[in-house]
Amino acid sequence: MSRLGSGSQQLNREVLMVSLFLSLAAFIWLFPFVWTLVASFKPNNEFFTTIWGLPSRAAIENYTTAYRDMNYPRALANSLFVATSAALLQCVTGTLAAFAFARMRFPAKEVIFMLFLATMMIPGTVTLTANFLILAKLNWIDTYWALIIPHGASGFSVFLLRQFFRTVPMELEEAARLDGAGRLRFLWSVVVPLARPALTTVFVFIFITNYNDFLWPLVMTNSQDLRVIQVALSIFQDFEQGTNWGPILASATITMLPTVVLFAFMQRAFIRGITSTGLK
Amino acid sequence: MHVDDGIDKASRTGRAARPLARVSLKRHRESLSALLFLLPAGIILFTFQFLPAVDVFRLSLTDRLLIRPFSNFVGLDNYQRLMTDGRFWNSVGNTFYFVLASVPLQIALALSLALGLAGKVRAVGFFRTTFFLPVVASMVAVSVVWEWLYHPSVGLFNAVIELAGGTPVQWLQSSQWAMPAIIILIVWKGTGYYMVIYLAGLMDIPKQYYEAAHIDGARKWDLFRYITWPMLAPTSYLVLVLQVINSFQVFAVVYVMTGGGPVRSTEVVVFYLYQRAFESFEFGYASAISVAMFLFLVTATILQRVFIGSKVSYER
Repeated sequence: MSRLGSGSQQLNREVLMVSLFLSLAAFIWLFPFVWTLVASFKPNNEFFTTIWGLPSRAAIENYTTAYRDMNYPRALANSLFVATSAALLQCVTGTLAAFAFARMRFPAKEVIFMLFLATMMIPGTVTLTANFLILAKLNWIDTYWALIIPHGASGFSVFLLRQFFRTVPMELEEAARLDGAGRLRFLWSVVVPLARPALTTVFVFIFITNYNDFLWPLVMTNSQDLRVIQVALSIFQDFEQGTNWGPILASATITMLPTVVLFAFMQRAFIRGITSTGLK
Repeated sequence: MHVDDGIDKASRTGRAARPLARVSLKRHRESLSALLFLLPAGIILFTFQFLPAVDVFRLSLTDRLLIRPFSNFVGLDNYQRLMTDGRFWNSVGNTFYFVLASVPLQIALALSLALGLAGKVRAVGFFRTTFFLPVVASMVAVSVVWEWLYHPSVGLFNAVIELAGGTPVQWLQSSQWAMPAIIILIVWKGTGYYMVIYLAGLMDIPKQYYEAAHIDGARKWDLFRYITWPMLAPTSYLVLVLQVINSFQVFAVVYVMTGGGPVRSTEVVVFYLYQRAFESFEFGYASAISVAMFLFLVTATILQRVFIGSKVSYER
């Protein structure tokens, strides 16, 4: 950029304008979160008397009501269990398949790889009815299996891990071979430790996707014991419809919290998942 | 899968049989272990992605009901019914309204934010996190919260409108405003995702291009018009394709906030499909809706490819 006096002045003004625009946008983006968090501590009657006012006291009862009526511990445990299992499973199935695609020779490799990738193009809503009947045939409707196994592999994780495995130097494999290590051994003790960033990305991405998933668990489960948090929240909100805003906002807050916190810590890993899977 | 392919090739060459046989045996074993490596992911993807994708076509030709274990082949009856089903076409119209409004808005905003962040501003990390935050938040929870923000008497939106001296709107209770309300929410929720993709695309544009143009005396707008925008074309194309596919899937927000109302003004295709399949249990008919939606998506993707993708240059 120009280093002349007038040029840099103009540049400064431009940076200032852009910063103002971004700050305004950031304010709008953050406001619903902050406003919800504040309002979730409002005593219920204050929702109807003042819109702008801060809570007169911290109405913890909003949270205890939500916690109890959503059956929060159970719903949260279900969601965490399902999301963790699916994410771990994808790390395993993805690693194995990606290793084959990245490092092994076999017939029709390109075609099979394309078929794996093609699954990313099949929208889950289109196959919903047929999937329900498949799960029914397996006797998996209303079980944890239905929530975990179908989400235990994806073109996304295979693709992302393959991209990474291709960067592992060939010499490492030859060295491991000379040391008498088999393929699985090489994969486990050399590739997997090297691939930790990529595996973290897969885990975080799949965990958040599954934790937030709604339509699938809504359709595939029924009993209260299996209710994941998203379904529990929608039922709770339906039940409290338009009157008990305090507990409703409290329930939304504790539902959002886990992924927002995870994202705050794992931001890099998550964003890498978007930018490194051929989306650009 | 043909694991014996390696042997065939070896025997065809004929010459120096013994060493080649050893190589082919090795290949053979490599193919076999590759098969084992692919099996876990392969079984899952086959059973829960490919199989249902094919099966949904078969189901759409039957009168399958969820509560009845048998079904009859009815040919194209479901599709005939679909053609004259006003509720279906209403849901198609609503989905198009939603897609055609939310996609351009998100792309324009995502690109603006990414361009802003790619400049010389401070606190880039803070801004990026902020704009991305709604993406990771649960759609159901966000919808619950926004239903409150949109509430006609206790909601924030009308409070702001009144503060500015405008006339309050009934938002989710109005068949005219319910869909715009959903679109505003989705723009807030989804823009950060595409902003991140655009940011990555911007980082890939070689700096020399700008330097050269600058020496030639190009103005800011010229830089965008002749360098940034064409160089981002592959990114924009991908963002567009992805967004259209994603937007067609809209469901949770409708389920939570409006239930398709008022007067079916927000009933989108997936919501209608859900109702047919899991509230009136017409699996055959719901499958026909799925297939129709799939065809819409395929058509949209092909149209984008023909009219936009063909003009995109991937050369740098």
